[in-house]
Amino acid sequence: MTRLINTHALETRKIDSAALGHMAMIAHPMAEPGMYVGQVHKDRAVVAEFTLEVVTDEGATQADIDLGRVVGMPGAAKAPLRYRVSAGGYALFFVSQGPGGYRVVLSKRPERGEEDQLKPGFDSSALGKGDLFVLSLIRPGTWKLEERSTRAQATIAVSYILPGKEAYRPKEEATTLSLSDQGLSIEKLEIGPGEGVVIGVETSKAQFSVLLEDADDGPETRARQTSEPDDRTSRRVRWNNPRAGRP
Amino acid sequence: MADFNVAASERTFEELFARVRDSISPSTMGSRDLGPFSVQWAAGFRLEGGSIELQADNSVRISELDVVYDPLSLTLGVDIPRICIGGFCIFALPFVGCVLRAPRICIFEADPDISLPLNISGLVTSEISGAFRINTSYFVDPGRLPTMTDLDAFDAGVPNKWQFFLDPIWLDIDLIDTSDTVGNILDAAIDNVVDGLLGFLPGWARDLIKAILGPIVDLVRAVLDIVDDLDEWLSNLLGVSIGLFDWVATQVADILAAQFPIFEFDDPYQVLGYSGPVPLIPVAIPLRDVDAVVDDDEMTISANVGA
Amino acid sequence: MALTDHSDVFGSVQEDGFNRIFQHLLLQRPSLFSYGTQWFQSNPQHLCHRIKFHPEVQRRGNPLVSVEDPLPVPGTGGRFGLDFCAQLVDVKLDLHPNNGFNLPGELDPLPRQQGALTARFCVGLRCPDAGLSHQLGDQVAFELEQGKIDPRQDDAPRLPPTPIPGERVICFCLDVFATFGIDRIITAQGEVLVPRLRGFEIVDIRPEGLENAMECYVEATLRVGILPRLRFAVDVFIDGLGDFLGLAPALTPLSPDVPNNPAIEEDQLKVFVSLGF
Repeated sequence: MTRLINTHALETRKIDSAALGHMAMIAHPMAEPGMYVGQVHKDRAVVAEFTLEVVTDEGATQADIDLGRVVGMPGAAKAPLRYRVSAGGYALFFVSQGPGGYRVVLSKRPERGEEDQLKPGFDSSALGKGDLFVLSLIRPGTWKLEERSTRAQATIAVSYILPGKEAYRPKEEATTLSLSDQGLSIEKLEIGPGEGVVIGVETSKAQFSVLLEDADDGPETRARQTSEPDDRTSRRVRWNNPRAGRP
Repeated sequence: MADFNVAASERTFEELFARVRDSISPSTMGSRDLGPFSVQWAAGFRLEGGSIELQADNSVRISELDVVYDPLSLTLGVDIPRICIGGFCIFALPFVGCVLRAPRICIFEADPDISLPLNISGLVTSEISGAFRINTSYFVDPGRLPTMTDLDAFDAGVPNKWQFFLDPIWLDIDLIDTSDTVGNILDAAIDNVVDGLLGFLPGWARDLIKAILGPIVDLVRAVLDIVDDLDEWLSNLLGVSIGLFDWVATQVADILAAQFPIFEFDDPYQVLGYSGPVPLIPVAIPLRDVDAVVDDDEMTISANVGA
Repeated sequence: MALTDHSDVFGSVQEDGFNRIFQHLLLQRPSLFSYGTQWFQSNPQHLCHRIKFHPEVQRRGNPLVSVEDPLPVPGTGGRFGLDFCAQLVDVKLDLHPNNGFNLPGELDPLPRQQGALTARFCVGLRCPDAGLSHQLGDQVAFELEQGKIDPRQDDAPRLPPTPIPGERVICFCLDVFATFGIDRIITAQGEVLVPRLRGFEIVDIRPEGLENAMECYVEATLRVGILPRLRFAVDVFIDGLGDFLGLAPALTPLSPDVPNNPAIEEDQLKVFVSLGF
C-alpha cells in the first residue's frame, strides 16, 4: 500500500509570504523578456537556483515554479531547473513538497553590452504592485491574515467539511481581494477548505503572514469540549509546576 | 452369468458417493490484474449434499451437489484517486478567461493502493449437477517394484486394484447464492482499510479527505465496477475473472474420474488370509472381466475368476 | 425385480466360480487337501496324487502336506507305525439344483438350499517289507521280555510311532459325495457363514460295514479336519465392504422377502447384506 501523504501541508499553521511554504503561492508578472536567474533562500542562505526565460512569442502564460522541487532536486545546484513563460505572463511560486520556508529572489541576467551584473528584480519578501499573494487553506478554523507594512488585517474562516453523501469539491472561483494603502478590501471572509483566496497587491514591499488562530477540530471535538468540564470536574486533578513560583 | 455379482442399491451407492464426496477438498491460489483493480485469491471447496439418481441408460445423475467455498479469501487491490487541491483560477481576463491558474497540489503524492481483504468463506455456494458413467479401471500402484510378486505387493501395501470411477459425461455448475452479508463485509473492509490508511492523520484531515473522496464505499464500489447487483459482480469476478467455477468443475471432474474411486478391491482378491505359524500364504483369487453397470435400481459389479 | 429390492447389497457366486476358486485353493494351499506322515512330506513323489502348487508356496516355504503321525501298528504299544497319506482331489461343487454331476441314490434328489460336492478321496499306505517286519517283530519280542514295552502303562507319555520303512506305497481312491448347507453362527469375530455337511456317501464298497466305516472316517475328516478351515469368502467380502464404507454390515435378517440368507439356489450362493444406515 502506498501512503505518500504530504504531512507538511496538513501541519501548516503559519504562513509567511517571505518564507513561502504550503498553502500559499506568489504570482509575479513577467513583463520584460529576457533570461532570469532565480535564487531560493532559506534562513538567509541560497539553497538552490533556477532559470526562467521570458520570451516574446505566445506560449505558456504561467511558469509553475515549485520551490520544493527546485530545492529537493538532487544536484540542483549543478543543473538548475529551467522554466519558460511568455512576456506578460506570470511566474507562480509555490511549495508542494518538503517543509518550505523559502524566499525567492529573481534577477535578470545582463544582456550583451550591459554591465556584467545581475539586475535585482523581484523579491518575494517584499511584494510589489501587480504581484498576487494566493492562499489555498485546507485546515478548518479561523485564520488571521495580516500585512506588515500597512498593518492591514482580515480573518478567513475555513469551514469544517464532514464526509457526506456527495463528494466535496472546492469552488473553482477564488475569492479575490486587494491590498492598498487603505488596507484589505475585505476584512472577513468564509471559504471552504482548498478554495482559493487571491490578494492583489497594489502597494509596495508587502509582506503577508497568515496564522491559524482558532482551529476547528470538527463537531465531535466541539461537542466534547463543551461537555467535558461538567462531566469531568470532579475527576480533574490539576498539576502545578512547582518551579513556576505561583499556584 | 459372471462368476461374481455384487449389486449395490441406490442407497448404498449414495453412501459410496458420499465417501468420495467428503474426501474432496482441493485448494488453489492466484492473482490477476483486472485493470481498475487487482485480485488475489486463496480458494478451496468441499462438497455437501447432492442427490443421486441411477439411470436406466447405465449412467448416474447427481443433482444439487452443494459446493461450499472454504476457504474463499479475496484480496482486492484498488487504486483510489489522488487527493488534490488547487486548480482554481487566480486571475482571469474578460473574454479571455483564466490566464493564471493555481497548480493542483496533491495531498496523496501518488495513487494510493488499498488492499481489501475479504474473507467470504462459506458465504458463497454453488451447485453442481452432472451425469456420469461408471468407468472401470485397473490400478497398478506406482510404488510396486517390477520384481514384486502379487503377494510381495500385498505385503508392501501396494497391491493392484480394480477401481470404479464416476466418469463425467457433463457437469453444470451454477452460482446459486451469495449471502447478503458479503455486501456488509465488503463495505466494512473498505471502511476499515481507508481508516487504517488515514489513521495517522488528525481527525479534521481524515474528514476532509473522506469528504473529497465522497462516500468511500461508493467510490471503491465504483472502482470495482459494482453497479447495482453485488451477486452479479461477485459471480462475474469469481466465474469469469478468476475462473473459479471452471476450476471447480475441472477439479470435480478430474477427482471423480481418476483420483477417488467410488469402490475398489484388490486384485488378486484374498479369500483366505495368512494362517498358522509357518505361516501359510493367503489364498487370493485373480479377478478378470470386471465390469460395472447401472440401471435405475442399482449398480452391479461383475467379475470372473481368472486362471 | 432388482437384486437389492430387500437389502442394501446383494452378492452372488456362481457354482462355476466356486469350482474355479477351488482350483486356486488347491494350488495356493495344497496342505489343506493333502495329509500324510513326514515321510510323504519329504517324498511327495510317493503321494497317491501328484500335487500341483503355486510358485509362491515353495518360495515362502509352505508345506505341500499337512503332517500327521504315522498310523500305529497295534500291539507295539505305539512304538511303531506305518506311513500314510490321505488326499482329497478332483473336488467339484454343484449348487442347487443338481445339474453338474449325478448324485448317488442315497443323496438324490438334492434338497433345496443345499449344495453337492464330489471328490476323490485317495489314501496311500507305505507297506513295510516282509523281512524288515520279521526283524522288527523279533525286536518287539525282546523288548517285551525286557519290559520296555508295557501296554499297561497307559498314562505314560508316548512318542509318536516310529514309521516302519517300506518300498511299496499302496494307494486306493474312493469317489465321495457330500451334500451341504450354509449355517450362520456367531463367533467372537461376529456372525460368520460356515459350510455344514448334511449328507455323505461313498459308493459301492463291500462289505457294507467297510463302506460305513470309511464313510464315517472320511466324514469325520471333512467335518473336523477340513471344513473348519473353509470359513471364508462371503464373510471376508462383507467385512471388506464394511471397511470401505466405514459401516458395520450384517446379513439381512430373514423375512418373507428374504426367506434364506445365504441362499443356495439357481446354481448360486446368494448373500443379502444390510449396511445399517
